[in-house]
Amino acid sequence: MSTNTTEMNLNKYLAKAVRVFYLSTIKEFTIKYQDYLFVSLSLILIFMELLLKPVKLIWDAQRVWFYLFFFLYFTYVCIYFLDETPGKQGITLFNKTVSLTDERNKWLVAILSPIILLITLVIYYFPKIFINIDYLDFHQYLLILIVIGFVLVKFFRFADESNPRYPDKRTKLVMYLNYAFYFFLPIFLIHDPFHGDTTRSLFNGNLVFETPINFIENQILVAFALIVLSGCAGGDLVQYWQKGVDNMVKSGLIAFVYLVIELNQLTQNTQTNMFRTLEIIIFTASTLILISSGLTLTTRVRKFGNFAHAEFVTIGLYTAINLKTAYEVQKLIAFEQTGIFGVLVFTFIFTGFCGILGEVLVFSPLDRRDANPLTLMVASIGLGLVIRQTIQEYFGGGDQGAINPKYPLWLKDLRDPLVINFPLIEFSTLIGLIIGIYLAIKKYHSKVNKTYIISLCTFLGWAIGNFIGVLVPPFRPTDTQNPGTSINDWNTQVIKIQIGYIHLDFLRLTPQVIGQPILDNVNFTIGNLTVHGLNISIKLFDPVDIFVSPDHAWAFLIMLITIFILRIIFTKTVLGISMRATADDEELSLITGINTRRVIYWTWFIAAGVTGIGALYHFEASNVIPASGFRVLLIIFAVVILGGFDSFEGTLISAFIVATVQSIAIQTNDKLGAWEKTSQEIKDLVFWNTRADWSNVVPFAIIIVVLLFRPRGIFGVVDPRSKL
Amino acid sequence: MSEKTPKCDKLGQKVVETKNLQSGYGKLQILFGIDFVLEGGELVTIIGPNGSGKSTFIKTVIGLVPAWGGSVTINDSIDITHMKPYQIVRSGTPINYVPQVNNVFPSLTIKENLKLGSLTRQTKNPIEEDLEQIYDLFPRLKERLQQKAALLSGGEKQMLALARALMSKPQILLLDEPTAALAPSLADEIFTKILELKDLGISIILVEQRATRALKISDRGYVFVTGRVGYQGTAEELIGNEKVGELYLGKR
Repeated sequence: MSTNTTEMNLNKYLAKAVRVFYLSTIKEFTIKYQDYLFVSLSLILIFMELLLKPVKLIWDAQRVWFYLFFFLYFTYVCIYFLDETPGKQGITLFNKTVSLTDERNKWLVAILSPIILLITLVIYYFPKIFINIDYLDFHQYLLILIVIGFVLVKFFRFADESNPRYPDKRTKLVMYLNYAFYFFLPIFLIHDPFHGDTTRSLFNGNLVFETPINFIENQILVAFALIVLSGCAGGDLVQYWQKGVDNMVKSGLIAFVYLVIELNQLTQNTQTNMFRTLEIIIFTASTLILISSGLTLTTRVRKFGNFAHAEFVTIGLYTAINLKTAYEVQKLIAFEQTGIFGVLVFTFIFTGFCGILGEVLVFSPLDRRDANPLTLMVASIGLGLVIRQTIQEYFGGGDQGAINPKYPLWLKDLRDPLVINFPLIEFSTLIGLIIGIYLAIKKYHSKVNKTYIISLCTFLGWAIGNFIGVLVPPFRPTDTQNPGTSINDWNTQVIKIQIGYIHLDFLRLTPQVIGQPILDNVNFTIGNLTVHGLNISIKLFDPVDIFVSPDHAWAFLIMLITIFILRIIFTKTVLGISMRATADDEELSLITGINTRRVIYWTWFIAAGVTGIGALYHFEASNVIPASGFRVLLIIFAVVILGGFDSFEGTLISAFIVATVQSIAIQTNDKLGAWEKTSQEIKDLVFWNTRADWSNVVPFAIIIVVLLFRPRGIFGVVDPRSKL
Repeated sequence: MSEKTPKCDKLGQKVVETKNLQSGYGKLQILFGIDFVLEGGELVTIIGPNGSGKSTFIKTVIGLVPAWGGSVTINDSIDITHMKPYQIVRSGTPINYVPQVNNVFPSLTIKENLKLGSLTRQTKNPIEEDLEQIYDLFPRLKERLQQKAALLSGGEKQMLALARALMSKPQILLLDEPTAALAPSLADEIFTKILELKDLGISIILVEQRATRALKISDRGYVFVTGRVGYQGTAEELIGNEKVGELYLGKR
């Protein structure tokens, strides 16, 4: 009974503390002393953590993830808030302004930020790893207080009429939505989001109360927060798109945290399937971007929908396959080793010239005779038919086989311990870190990316390391054939990788010792840290097997490279700027001195070439027939129309939308089919036709819905001259 | 009206000359033999009622509309009658044309617009130097370099169009109603800029609807009537001419 009274008193004190805190956050005080407030609260937090620990240890790995991301977000939020005072040139810390225009300070901030984060984590987790003390939820109250404090600061700051930065009502609405989000954040924090349905006492670890929010409700709240957040992002996008991107990154971060948390709630099989679906979506979207961005390009410059675009896909496929055969017949060079690069280059050039040929033979002459866009479109349908028929006459209608693998196999030797044993993963992680830090410093002054990019650089390195791990399979295909999952036979060769651990393999960083590895007899485990000789691994959460196909990873890489190169061409080179100028206004381009004919030829060359390469990656194992291209034409048009028909950015986003919708359609179809099989009643048995292919139907349904709301597509503007 | 500046190195030369120039669209003939002369360092205004062929004349000179007959020569010697526009602007004699409407690339940023202007220039010095000069002349553009040109106001678009033309370091500039659809105060600003350009030594052909205003800053003027040169003379003569005044300057 007495313990209960103590606890009740404690809760009373806490309530009082909250009130005091609320009172203390009056306008001037808070704004003036926010830095002191923040630092002192953080210190209190850390001390509480260190001092008030009961002795029972429940070491939960997922908390590392949660707090890692939470602090990351928090560091960002803090510096963001501090930096937000209008007209200020730098960050004000303890009433001293640190100028960020100073080169030295810039570096300092860029480097210090991740280090501070790291130190915070070390302080936070050191006792947990090496001293067995329990974890308690008391700090959550403090986190809530801090967050509420910042909400209030923000509220007062933007309620200020004299603040010139957010003058209009609409922006204010967006800001209030933002407050709503900040307000909801503590609710998630008070609930132990992992498995703790309970809050424990400060002193003896007894149960204090059951958390009122159960698992499902928590999910609803998370969903609500994400909706609010994306609402903010969307609202902001209209006017301040930098802020919109800002919010999207925030919501992405939080969504990712919850994804990681969620993983533990699912069965192993579901986890695996989830990642597999994600991987397939990314792959489909990548190849869709590759084969449809060419159509966007030609539509923008030539102002008509080119139906012969499908034939560029077919031409690309046939060129590559015949080239591969030539390689094999002539035995010029082992195709599996480096041949694929030659194939890519030649396919690009050949398909590109086919694009130019179409313009020279068909569209240009029609143009000279004052054809309108409709005429050109119908002509393109005809051209497509002619090309398709020609291919059929020449190669026959049969299946042509496929190009597999779509990457040079010698790369695998890099990771084969018997051949080269190059520490590829470690090396690429290092490169990733360097790139991250470089980006952070370069982007520091841009409005889009502020401090969080600095914090994210570490994760970039980790991600790049893992990605290269997939690009270059860790084994030779002849050694092991690891079968795919049961979802789909998307590809014959799939790699199984396990995530959940961070591995540091120092053995590979040092010169290899033949025979007995150094320190092989050192074996111990503390908490989630396992040391085996020079092999150190840290468990982050229960390991999940994910299956990734190297071909898919390569498609993604090729997409990234292509987008990067196209972006450089469009924004940096005279040719790219001329292309956009010609797309805007051909007459004006002529009198500016642009040879528009030549620019149009280049446009066709690049558009068709990229499509030809993309075709190689879009079509998996087999099924290359003369109508291959025509079969994907509809989905290409779907992507392009959804994206706004002449917007490159729109194409990127809509490719992901279409890929997701397609994947969901296939899965739902499977699920319904499975449900039908297990049904007992007759009327259920004809409920669903599992043989139906919904993957091409559902995207169009979605497109119709989207177009009802945005008739010009996601990013499309009908005429850049119209003022809308 | 204003004194010829010594900056122009082609003083008195016929930098643009057309002889019996005829052209039109499709089967419709617009120009019925125009004889026109622009001398170095001059500012010549073409006025005339709607449909009299002013814009068509300029488009024919620059090659956007093919000439049916007659000839266009620049710099006394070079025949450009049957050249394509991009060949004309690259022909070695810096010549540039600013259309009446649609004279900027809306989806390009202002900086890219200016960069495209420098495509045809003959000098090799870096673009940045010239950009600085342009910013001095049009300070309003400098603040908005990374913005898309579609977001500019009407007056700012005209200034951007002028600035882009200047980036090619032209000796001859053809301006098609630069003040069309602008507020009077903005029009004044544009006229001031045009005079500044003339002071830089550029020979200018100006097509204008604001006839009195335009003639006041010009050296000479042409009055087009249904595809023919109706009247011509110095600006003072034209303003003084009663018939011209009655017809086009709104005098009674």
